[in-house]
Amino acid sequence: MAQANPSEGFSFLLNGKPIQAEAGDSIGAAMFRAGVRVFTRSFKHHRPRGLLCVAGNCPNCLMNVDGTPNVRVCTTPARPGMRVAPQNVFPSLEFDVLAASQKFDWLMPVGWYYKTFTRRPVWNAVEPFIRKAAGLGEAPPSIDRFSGEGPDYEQRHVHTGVAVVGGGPSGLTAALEASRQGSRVTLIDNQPQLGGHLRFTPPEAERGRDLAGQVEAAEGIEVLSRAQCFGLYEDGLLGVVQLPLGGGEESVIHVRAKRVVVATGVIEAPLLFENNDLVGVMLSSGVERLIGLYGIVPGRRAVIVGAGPRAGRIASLLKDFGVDVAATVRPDQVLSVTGAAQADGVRTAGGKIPCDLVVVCGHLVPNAGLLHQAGGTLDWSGENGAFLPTRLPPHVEAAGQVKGCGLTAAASSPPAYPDSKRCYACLCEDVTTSDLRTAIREGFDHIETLKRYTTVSMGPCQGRMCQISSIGVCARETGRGMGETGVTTSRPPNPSVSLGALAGPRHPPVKRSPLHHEHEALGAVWMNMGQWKRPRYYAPVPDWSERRIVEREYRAVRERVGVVDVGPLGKIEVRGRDAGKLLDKVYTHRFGSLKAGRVRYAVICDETGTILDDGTISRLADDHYFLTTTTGNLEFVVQWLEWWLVETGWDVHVADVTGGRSSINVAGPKAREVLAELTDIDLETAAFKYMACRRGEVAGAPAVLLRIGFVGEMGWEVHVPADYGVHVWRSVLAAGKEHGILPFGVETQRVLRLEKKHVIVGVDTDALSNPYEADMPWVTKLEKQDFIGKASLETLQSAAANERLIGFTMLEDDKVPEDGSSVVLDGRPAGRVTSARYSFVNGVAVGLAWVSAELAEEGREIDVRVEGKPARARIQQAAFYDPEGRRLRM
Amino acid sequence: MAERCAQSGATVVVDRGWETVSHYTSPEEELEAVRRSVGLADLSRIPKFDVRGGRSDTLPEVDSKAGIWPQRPGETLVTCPLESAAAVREQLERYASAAGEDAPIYVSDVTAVYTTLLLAGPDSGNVLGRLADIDASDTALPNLDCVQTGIHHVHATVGRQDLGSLPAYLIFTGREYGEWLWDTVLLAGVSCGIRPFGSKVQQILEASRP
Repeated sequence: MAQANPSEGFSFLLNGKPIQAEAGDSIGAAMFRAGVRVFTRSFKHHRPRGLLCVAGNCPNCLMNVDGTPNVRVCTTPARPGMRVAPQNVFPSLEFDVLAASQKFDWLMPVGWYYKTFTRRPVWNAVEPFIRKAAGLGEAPPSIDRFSGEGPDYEQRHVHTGVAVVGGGPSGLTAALEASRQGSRVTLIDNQPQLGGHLRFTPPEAERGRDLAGQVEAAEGIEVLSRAQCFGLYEDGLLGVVQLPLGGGEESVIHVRAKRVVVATGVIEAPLLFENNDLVGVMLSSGVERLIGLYGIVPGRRAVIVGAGPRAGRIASLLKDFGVDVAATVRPDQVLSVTGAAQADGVRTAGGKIPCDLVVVCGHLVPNAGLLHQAGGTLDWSGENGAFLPTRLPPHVEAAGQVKGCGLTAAASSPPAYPDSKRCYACLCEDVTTSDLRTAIREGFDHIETLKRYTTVSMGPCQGRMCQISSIGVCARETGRGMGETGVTTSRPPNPSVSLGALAGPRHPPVKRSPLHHEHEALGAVWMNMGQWKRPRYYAPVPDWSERRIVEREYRAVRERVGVVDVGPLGKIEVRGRDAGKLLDKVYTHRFGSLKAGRVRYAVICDETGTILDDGTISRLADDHYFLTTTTGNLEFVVQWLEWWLVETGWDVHVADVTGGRSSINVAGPKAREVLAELTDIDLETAAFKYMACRRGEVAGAPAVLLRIGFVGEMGWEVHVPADYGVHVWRSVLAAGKEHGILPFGVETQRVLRLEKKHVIVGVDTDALSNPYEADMPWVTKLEKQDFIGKASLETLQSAAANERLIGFTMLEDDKVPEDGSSVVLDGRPAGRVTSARYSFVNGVAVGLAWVSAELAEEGREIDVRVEGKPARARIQQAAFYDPEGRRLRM
Repeated sequence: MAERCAQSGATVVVDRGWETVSHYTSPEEELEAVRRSVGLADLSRIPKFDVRGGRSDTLPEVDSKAGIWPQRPGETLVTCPLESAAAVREQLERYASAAGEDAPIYVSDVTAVYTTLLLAGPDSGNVLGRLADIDASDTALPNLDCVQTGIHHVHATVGRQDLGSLPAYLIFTGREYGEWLWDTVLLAGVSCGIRPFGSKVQQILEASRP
């Protein structure tokens, strides 16, 4: 099918049939050469459409290429083996039954949606059909939004002195001049080769090649070919989308430039006459491109619609290539183009002029959208017959035709047009001059409201083809001038960019603990916690159930000893003479008076008394505290501490050391015996009490040990420099082997902590929870000097609570509610479960739930929904395991 | 990181207590790749000190091969070769001790806190441009200067530390992002032919530093 050497010609598939292409062909050129004339069907009326601009501006050649929808085939280089297919046709491009909609277009007047679907049920009923029939293409099926499989997109950043947008003569000259002045230059051109229109205008081709050669040889100029600038933002930031010459996905380039030169030239836009969209009607620049770039003569007998030098030039060109130029007629002489699908003549007052090609010398519209986006103003110039940039932002300049150079006004502005349902002002959205007139008569007589009501200029061309025509219609119908009518706002992205390209590479950040590979070797089953990868549990035998695995790990902790990686906990060092002051200000408990060597549970509230985070604070020295935070709130807590430090003048320094510490929790009745083998620190309770901290060595590594008990057993959190993490982990496992030590994962940890009724902030609390309702009033020290949230907490302390966080025990041993299940009272929702797990020590599920305050009575029975049905549970305020905390203090 | 590299077939040696990749393929190939296009090495083992407080952004002259990377007013990251770690630490602590009580200075060893990657070679600036919004040109980021940036929204400090005539950049991020950053940089450098290189090549290149 595909030949080996594209330079010798090759083929690709159109709807499964081979199309022969020549080296340098675009897909559209090869198709045209092969005799294809109909490329698309129009958006609404499904009228056949053929090549028009051959510049990638109009919607007439949008096709599906290798699964990617809406590819402009007129400018996309052909490659061997590519698969091209039409879109939005049923059943085929040649015969589309939806073309029958033209017969019923009286049923769909302008503003049809607004007029017809005034009631929601009606819209709901028809929406699926409309969505099926409308739209442009379909998302590539290769993208699996769940697995993440699919094309990958690149992004990069370029910093430059001068960014020149446009590779025509003005852009090339500007780039060379800037380079000569010593600037780094980035030239952004949407064509595969430099030269702009000089490439396809034979008398000037040599000049184009010369300029392009100079630019390519210049050292300080980087050329981005096939790259379109889709946005010009503040501070000289340009969004550029580039299509690789060899195929593949488009990439986004962020170009930051000190100066921007916009040399985007002009766009030729169609004229308004009946059947101006028929296949065979082409813009003069499109004809020049087909002949000049691809050597394709688009017809045998042509009528030229236009006047002046441009019409003369195109007539001469066509004659040179053997085309019979039947006539050249002024636009105002054209009554209509005739033909069913393909143009077969032009009707004038003098009769029909038969032809197979209608060449339209259209409006030359400065391509000034970027300048407008950037904040420049576009004002109507009667002399040039165009909207020209007048006031531009600093560091942005216009060069060449985009600022009106060489443009002259047409005979009449705004031009005359027929009131016809087949005179298309907007080819993208099938908006006719008749539609525009109707809309204006209905009151949408401002160009912006006209745009929104009719959708004119809202299609893929984003107004390039239709803006000038719609402004002309609006101006003529309202009696206002072109300048007074004005232009619609230009917004990025224009042209369109795929969402994948904007999103960039699919390589989201992942945090790994220093022990990650140890867990992997132990058979960890992973879970994502924010950006962290954490072991959910360790699967010793592949076919064991999760409950069996978790119970095995659980028993190890409750009966012997277990070890869990708590590296993802946020870890912060707060140092300085005034560190205690800051912690007293930010946390609800007292820390300035905490003795060195002690640890305290710590809660942060905001000004309203809502719980933001919790953790532990250990005082390592008078001016040195070690904080832990919840995994997900680390960055917030660091910022929060720094925020409240601003302008205090205190000597406090806050450092996030999370990544630098490897942290494990060794817990269980045998934890002391295991650790004692690895450290000289006296671990006996007399020397190392519960909620105390010590510095020393563990397995030869410098360590901080905290005696705390999240899982409800005697245990120590051991923090060592990350580089010693693996060594210490292995040492603990080795020392614990004779005691039956097991590593345990997050799921087991959650069961263990739930039995102790230890709350996880963000899981068991939400954006409204305060310490009183969350059943932890002891964390607030209202007698302390002012701290964040104090005033609100004082009020909340004495106010009647709306809700309470309660513990509950299920009364049926096989019922385990899911997190988030409803608490039900008399068949109505009365609360929600935040956490629930099967408690191996209790033989039933236990959990935490928010219920209305009046329900929160010890021993009260409630219903919790389990698998859709209510199941009985009893409220229990004490911990479900070791409520006196004796095991923590052993 | 060393463990992961070892899994991929790299030769891992122990250098002054650190497991270090000596080479991935052959030192000659790696050196050629770095000099021709761009290479990536894991330098997480280099000593790093966090100096805070007082006027720590105006540090005294420490080791001649030390890197001084200001983070923000009153906060500086200092790096140095492994062999001069003790001396640099002593110098910094002496400096901190000399600071008055009204503006105390705190020195912390943050070697383990940061992953440090070395991106070196003529195309290293291009690879950086695929990672972050950084102007890596000589004028915007001269040798021994640094910028803070985001790589896929992950905070990073990029310091330029040329190896003779070869442009080279140290990238610092939180250690927890280490493996991800390694993969991300290699992916960004595919089109430039990026190659990982080990400590042997790094020592050769380091010798070319003035």
